[in-house]
Amino acid sequence: MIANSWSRHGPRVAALLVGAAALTILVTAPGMGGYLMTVVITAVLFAYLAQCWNIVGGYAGRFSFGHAAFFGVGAYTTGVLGQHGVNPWLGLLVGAAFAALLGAALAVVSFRFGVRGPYFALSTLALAETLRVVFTNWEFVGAARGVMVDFSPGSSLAAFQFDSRLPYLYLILGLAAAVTALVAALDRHRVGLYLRALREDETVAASLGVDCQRYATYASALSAALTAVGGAFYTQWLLFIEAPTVYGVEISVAMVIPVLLGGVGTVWGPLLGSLALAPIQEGARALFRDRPGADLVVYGIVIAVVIIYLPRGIMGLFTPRPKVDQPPVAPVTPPVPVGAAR
Amino acid sequence: MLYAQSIVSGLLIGGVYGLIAVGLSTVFGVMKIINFAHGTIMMVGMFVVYYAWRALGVTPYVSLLFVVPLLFLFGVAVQLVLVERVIDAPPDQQLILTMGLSLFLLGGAQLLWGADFRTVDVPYGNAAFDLAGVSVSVPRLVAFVAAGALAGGLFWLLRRTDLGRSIRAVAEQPDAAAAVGINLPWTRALTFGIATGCVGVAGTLLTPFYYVTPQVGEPFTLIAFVVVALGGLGNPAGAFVGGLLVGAIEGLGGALLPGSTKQLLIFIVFLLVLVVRPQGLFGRRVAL
Repeated sequence: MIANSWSRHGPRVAALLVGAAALTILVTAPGMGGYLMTVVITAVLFAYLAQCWNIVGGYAGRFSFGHAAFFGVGAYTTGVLGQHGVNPWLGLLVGAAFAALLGAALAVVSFRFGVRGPYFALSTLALAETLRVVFTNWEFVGAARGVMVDFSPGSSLAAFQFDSRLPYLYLILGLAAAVTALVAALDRHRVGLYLRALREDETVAASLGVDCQRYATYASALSAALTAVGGAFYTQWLLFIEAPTVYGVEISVAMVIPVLLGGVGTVWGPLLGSLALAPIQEGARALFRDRPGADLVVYGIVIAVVIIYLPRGIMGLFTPRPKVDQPPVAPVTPPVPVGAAR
Repeated sequence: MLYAQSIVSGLLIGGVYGLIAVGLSTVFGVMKIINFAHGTIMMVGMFVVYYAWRALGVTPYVSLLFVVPLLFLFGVAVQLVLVERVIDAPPDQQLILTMGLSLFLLGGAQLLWGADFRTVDVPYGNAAFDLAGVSVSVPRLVAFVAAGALAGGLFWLLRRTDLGRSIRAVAEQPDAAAAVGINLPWTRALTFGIATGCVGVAGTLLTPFYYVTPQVGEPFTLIAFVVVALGGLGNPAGAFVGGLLVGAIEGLGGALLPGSTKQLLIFIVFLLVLVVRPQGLFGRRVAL
């Protein structure tokens, strides 16, 4: 849409880097050791989740600090339904639907009551924490014992269970590629422009005819559903979930940091950020000999450096700052009757 | 009687919540920044108290003598080195920065001291007396009274001293304050230091009857948010009253709800307040 010379260049370099990394993983995967593969699967899962967060946190500008809520809903729905003999793929779909409803409700309520910025971040955090406490005490979902998924030996795509780690890696790589393709399409589509418009200035966006509430709700529901799919993958991969982990602040943080590092509201930022973060994290773990806390120290330092020195993330290095006199968003023709906008 | 007991216990701890929230609220009032690291900074103070007791046998209340100056200086440094750089950045970015600080302190504490639960074992830790059938814990009562006194002192400082007037001026009209010769960065640094000093007192008061672990701070940050949300961001007096209210709600929740669900009531209240009345029960900026 905004076809300046710079806006084509930066993303291409980023796409090349990410593509090369994905190809390397794909080619070397069969020869990877167990530990390395676990590390890679985790990194790709969080790259996928970061991209999901990016839809609402980056494009729509709703900084959620509680996406673990959706992740946990996806993980628990799949796990609990699985215990009752429901196929995990169906569980994944049901979980995604639940999460989409929750995400839509969150967007509608926060829009209706004008919960924005830091208040929105804090209320999403409170939502995730509420679910954590509820699920830790809810007997039907295993309370504090968590949920154990039965494993029947043998690999089967239909049963979403595999004997080795390799299929899980392929699966999550596929998911990450799919969500990135979706975000890339969104980035070019007018809906992506609407989202960016309402991120920059809701009043102006509304005055140009963007139905802010509608698109914010779509973005929130979509991001929540996709995040829940990640949760379902997590359940099937680890075969055990517990509320303090899947609803934990750590999950929410791990989804946000790669996006901040890579570049908020860009197609390649979340993946670049994950790519940069993974080696730093592994290095810190090795340096501190796997003592707990190393990740958090790394996160803290990354955040401080990014916020103070790189507010637009790594993508900001590739792409010059937009000029002030040039509007960040191309003019939008009113797609809906004026009356539909608030 | 069970309810009376729960409410009394809740109110006593509510005083400490109030003190923690007063700091959070003051920082918000002056800098318009939500300090997500508030509780983790308290945790650092609690570890200082713990090691002073463990290594040197210093009883917690005496530790106030060095914990408070230490956390005050830490707060001043945080403001000057980190927060001052994002003072004009969008609120989201400011919140993320303090979240980063919180993660850094939490991770650092886990690396240094491990994730175990520790307790400061002092003879008066379990002391209690009976008041009309309700058991009153002595260290909790001390915490309540001291927290109330300190919060009162802080109000006095804000209302009646030159420093307080300049802090309020910066909160009200930063540009005008700068024009009459108030040093903005320095005033903000002192404000942040005062807030972390308060949280140091709160942490110290908690140690005789509370466990010490790297994770101890985060729930207090969340509770302080609830309190501040109830009392109104930037309204320290409202924050203290909010603390008592949240303490009482938590106490009642503990009596009414099973297991570890007592926090549930708090989160629900928090969500309701954020959604329905984000300016707090008592409105914004009465005292500051």
